[in-house]
Amino acid sequence: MRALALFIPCFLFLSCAHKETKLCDNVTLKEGRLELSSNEQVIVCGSPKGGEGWRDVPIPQAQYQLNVLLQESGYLTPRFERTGDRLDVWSGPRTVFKDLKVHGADGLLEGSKKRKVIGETITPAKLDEINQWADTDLRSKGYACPQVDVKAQVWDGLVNVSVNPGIRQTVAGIRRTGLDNLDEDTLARYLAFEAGDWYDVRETQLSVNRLLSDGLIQSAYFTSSCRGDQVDLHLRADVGRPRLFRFGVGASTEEFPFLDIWFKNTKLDGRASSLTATLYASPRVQRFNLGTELYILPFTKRGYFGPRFQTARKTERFLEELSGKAGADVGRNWDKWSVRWRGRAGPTLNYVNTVKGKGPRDVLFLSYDASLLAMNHVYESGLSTQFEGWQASLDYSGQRAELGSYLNVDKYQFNYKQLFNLGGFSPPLVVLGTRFELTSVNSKTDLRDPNAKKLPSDYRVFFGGDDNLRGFGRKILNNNDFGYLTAGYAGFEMRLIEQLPYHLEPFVLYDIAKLGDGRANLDDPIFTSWGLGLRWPSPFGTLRGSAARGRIYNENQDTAMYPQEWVFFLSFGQEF
Amino acid sequence: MKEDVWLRRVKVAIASVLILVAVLLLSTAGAVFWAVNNPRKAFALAEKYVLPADLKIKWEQMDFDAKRVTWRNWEIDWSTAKLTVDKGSPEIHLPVEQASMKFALSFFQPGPLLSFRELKVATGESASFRSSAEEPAAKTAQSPFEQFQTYLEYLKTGSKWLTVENMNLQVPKFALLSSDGKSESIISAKLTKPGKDQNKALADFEVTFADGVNKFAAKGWADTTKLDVAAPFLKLDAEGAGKGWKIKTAASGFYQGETAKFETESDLAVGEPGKEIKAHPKLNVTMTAAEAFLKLQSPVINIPGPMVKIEKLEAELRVPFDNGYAWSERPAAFKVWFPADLFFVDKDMRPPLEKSCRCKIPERLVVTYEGRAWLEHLLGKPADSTTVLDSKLSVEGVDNKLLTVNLNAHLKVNKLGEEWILEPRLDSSVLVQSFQGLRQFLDARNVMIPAPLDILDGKISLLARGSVDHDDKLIRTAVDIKVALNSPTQKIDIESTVRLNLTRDFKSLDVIVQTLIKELKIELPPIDPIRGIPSLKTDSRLVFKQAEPKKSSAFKMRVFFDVKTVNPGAVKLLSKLADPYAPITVDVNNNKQGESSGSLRLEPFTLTYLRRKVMLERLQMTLTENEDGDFPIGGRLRIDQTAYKIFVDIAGTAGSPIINLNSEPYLERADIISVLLFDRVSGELVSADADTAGGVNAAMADRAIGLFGLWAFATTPIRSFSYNAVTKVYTATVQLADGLTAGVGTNWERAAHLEVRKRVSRRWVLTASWSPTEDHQQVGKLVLQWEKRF
Repeated sequence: MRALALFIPCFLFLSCAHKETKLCDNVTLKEGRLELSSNEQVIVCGSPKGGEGWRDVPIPQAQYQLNVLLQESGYLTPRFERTGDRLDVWSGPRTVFKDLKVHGADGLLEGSKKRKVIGETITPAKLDEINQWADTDLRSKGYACPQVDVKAQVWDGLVNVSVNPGIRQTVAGIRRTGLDNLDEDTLARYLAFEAGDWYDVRETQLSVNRLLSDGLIQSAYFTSSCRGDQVDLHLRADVGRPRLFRFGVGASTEEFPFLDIWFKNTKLDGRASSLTATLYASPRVQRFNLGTELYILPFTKRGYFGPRFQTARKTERFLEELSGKAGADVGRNWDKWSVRWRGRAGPTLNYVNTVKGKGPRDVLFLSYDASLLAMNHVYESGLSTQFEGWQASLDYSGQRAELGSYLNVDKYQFNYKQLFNLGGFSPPLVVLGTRFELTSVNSKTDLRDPNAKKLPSDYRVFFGGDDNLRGFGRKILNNNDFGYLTAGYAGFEMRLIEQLPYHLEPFVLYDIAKLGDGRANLDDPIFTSWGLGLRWPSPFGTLRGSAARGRIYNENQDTAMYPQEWVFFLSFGQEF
Repeated sequence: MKEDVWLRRVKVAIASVLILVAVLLLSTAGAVFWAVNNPRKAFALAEKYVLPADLKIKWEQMDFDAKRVTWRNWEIDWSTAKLTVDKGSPEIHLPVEQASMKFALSFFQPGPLLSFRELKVATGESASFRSSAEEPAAKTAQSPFEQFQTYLEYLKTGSKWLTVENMNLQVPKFALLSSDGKSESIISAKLTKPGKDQNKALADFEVTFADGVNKFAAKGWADTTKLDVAAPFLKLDAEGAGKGWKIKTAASGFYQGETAKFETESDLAVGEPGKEIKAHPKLNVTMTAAEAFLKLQSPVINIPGPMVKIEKLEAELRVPFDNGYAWSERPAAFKVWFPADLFFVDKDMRPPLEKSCRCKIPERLVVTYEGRAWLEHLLGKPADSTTVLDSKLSVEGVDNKLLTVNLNAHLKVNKLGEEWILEPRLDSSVLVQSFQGLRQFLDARNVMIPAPLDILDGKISLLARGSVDHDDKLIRTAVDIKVALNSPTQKIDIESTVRLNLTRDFKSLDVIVQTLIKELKIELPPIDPIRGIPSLKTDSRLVFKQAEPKKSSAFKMRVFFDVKTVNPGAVKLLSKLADPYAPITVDVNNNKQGESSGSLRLEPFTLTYLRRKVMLERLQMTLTENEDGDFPIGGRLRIDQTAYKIFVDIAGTAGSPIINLNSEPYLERADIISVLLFDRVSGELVSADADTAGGVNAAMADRAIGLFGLWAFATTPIRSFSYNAVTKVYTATVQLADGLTAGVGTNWERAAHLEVRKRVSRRWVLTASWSPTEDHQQVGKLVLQWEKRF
């Protein structure tokens, strides 16, 4: 593909004949491409900025240095011709890798799985990449101090990776410094591993990321030292001042403009109980949140009690709603089987007033919410790359007439997403993404009944958009704004990795869903969408664009209002 | 009366004598007759009473027949078969299959006394000779010419009373064994004289020699009738070959009474096939009673030399003779010389070189080895230490504006008994008059004198003078080297002594270099460190050719060094970053086990770059390798930052330095990094800056950032930093002096958390970010943010 990308401009402009490059006054590159940095310019050509000794560089030295620099660019067989005080340089062809062999890994590493090597130019940077691949892979499989030696044979393009992984190691213990007067148990809820687990560098980094994202710790890192079949870990952390106040104005991919005032006290006590207050205001949402995680429960290191309060005003195209919530949860965050688990459950006192659209007006009720999220560590550590792993969540929300509500309703939602790195290549060649969603609202109320207005919008299911059916507009499958009570959805995406320049990742997509406006019932029409897209993992977030066409099978009069056309999405920060 | 008595007495005496003579004659005749008829008994008696005890002679058959033609002419036939001669010391075993002689004895008449009509000897194949460990017999007191002359005179004289008509002596295989029996050489020889023409050659001969490795065959004739005439009396064609050599030669010998001459012309090849050194030597030897004079001339092809080419070689040897002495007391004089072409000075180089030396470069230099040898003592065993050889090797001198070269070596050899006492002496000097001239010369050969040394000028001298010490094990000499180069800002003033210890078997050489750096002041390249340090050598991970199994050389060379600076900081590295320069003290050496020791020490100086001044208080690398082959380092840098003094203590090894941060007043490590990067303690940082400081801290702990990185980030305003501890890759953006930004590190797409931000003021930051969270709420934001942690 890269060759094609180079060929097209050549073909169009008919000007691909190589022009010689003047590297210095007396050094000319007759063939090949080499751009000297300012420092390289100094040691090849000399510099008037330097002292007398570096104003000019002797031709033999320039030749030697150019030989080194050309080799760094993959020109391993350059030719030099000197005429008096002039030096002409022919870079020769770039030498490419033709094979990669791993020695000593005993099946731990497979050279055939390392992509972007065969056919690529042999450069020191590429050798670094191969070294890093072998080193990282081994450190992710329990070998904390592997020895990796990479050598490239220029004459036949073979790269030999000699590996001495050592003994597979378990985590002996975790020393910690810099945690001030924090309770020792506090750390347990952030750690992705325990003493005795096989060492995995990704899990140490995952733990650091959790510590940092929580705001309790300003900086943290692990150091490791190998000791036979064990590795000692040392967490060095710096606990910042507990209270953090932040004020910001800006714009997001969803809203413009917005105001965000945020306050967090990360250390209400020695077990790092926290309080977070946010005030968020945008034309679509105005919301005040007060949340806590109080680690005050006895007999548990990871369980917490979490009183919370929220008041909000939400404005959508088909809805305007005022709401308030006050509640308290019991929750727990923990890791088991290399999976991150997060569970939370508790009652909420709700107030909803639907000013516009379908929903209850001025009601006060009690609801019960529970959620359980499971995410394997592979997925969690690769959130930014989205290459592999899985995540599943189960959410429940319900109300009981006899327990402070005006109706009986239960909402169950199950989500599952898994990413497959097909072939297990590094980096992946094709990533297959799958996601499934099952939603069921158990309500005896017919949605079309006038009483159904009492059903809050949170208990209605709206479909369409980048989150699910991408061939339909955002929440456009709304059942005449009544929403649905049952939904079944499956989405698929196949993404090509690092085959296009600039890290562009094209993908094809297919979504299929059935919806029902009765409880536990899916109606006939089948909603599908298929299309193409492009993902760009830019330095400041993921940009995704997709073009998908929605199609409805087994149509009926209720679906006649839904347009079946090409829908274009451009999102920032959104993933499959 | 008296007369009668006397007469009677005389008669009695005469009668007695006659009777005695008659008795003797009869006895002798009887004995001869008895011996001829009873040879075995006669020989047994001779063995018992006359012959040496270790000599045993046996035969199976022996016939003797003497016929009287006249009383003055006798015809004698003698033959034997299966005759065996054995001797104990030296050990000889000579089986003779067949031997016969037919000759005539003629008394009291003109002509030869002894005329052989036939002389035939054929030995068996098991003939052998084992040399005795005993000393050889003392040589005759004659000069070589006298001996030669004597032999030839014998031949001349003998041919007057002895003639041979038909001769056939054949030795098909004669084994020469060394006294210890370890080596064996086989000789076969044939000496024939067919026909009756006495005026032709005395004999044709064929000789072959082989010892398993070498083989030599000669064929020729000798003619005694050509003695004393201008024609040759000896002709010889010979061929030989062995391991690494091959020769084909033709020789002629002349003898004219007062003068003997030998002329040879050969084709000689030495070395492996395809790389043979070939020569066509012509050797003339003239001998008189006064002297022998040898003259050799030969073209030479393919002499391999690192810097020279030799096309011809000449040699002369003049040996004086004194009659009555084996060797004269006067010395023999010899001289070997050859012109060595300066082929490395090619056509293109000659003009610039001649310009720089302001001289005419000679096309060749003559190399001469000459001297005197006292052969009497050289070949003998002098009772007192006596000089036997005094020689000199010299190369034609060069003296011009570029180079002054005088290369001379002397070798004097004394002998005491069988002990050789060598007294070698060197008297050589090379003076590079103009380093710039040398640089131009090397530059023309594309040999690198790198910047900044290429602009220096001055002199370099190499001096090797004095005797070469030696003992039972080693030969020792020394070369003094002085380098005095300078330019307006740079200077090199170094004195060095190179001692060479060569073992007596020439299989091992120790080179011991002792260097004293008086002053070494050179400029560092004006590179901007934050823009990346360019690679100065090829990546060792690139293998350009298959490793061939190295032949283990019998010759081993070890290099030992001892380098010191005269004063602390005598090495001065000039750079705009170092104020006034970076002074280095050197004291390094290695021992006989090849282990290095000593230290390299940076003396205090100030490093200034962009917004920071770093005081290097000390930094020392100890050159004693640890078990990993790394060198321990230790030192301290001081950075005065706002109200804090920050100390960077360096320990560990050069490959894996350990960096400890301390401060006055005391700060935590994270705070120190914050102060270094942002001039504030971490508690005063906005979260984005805290992330950066934390990332730098983690990267330092993982050694992804070293001392240089810390310094670089401390000296330049850091815009962003992210570190991935899994891949150990960091990405940073820093602001340079010219307002531009530079990216440091790579693989930004692999970093887990990415952010682009622009600081608006101390607390206001404009941030474009994407922070993935556990619950998949990934939102890209552009936020103008004010933050305070308290």
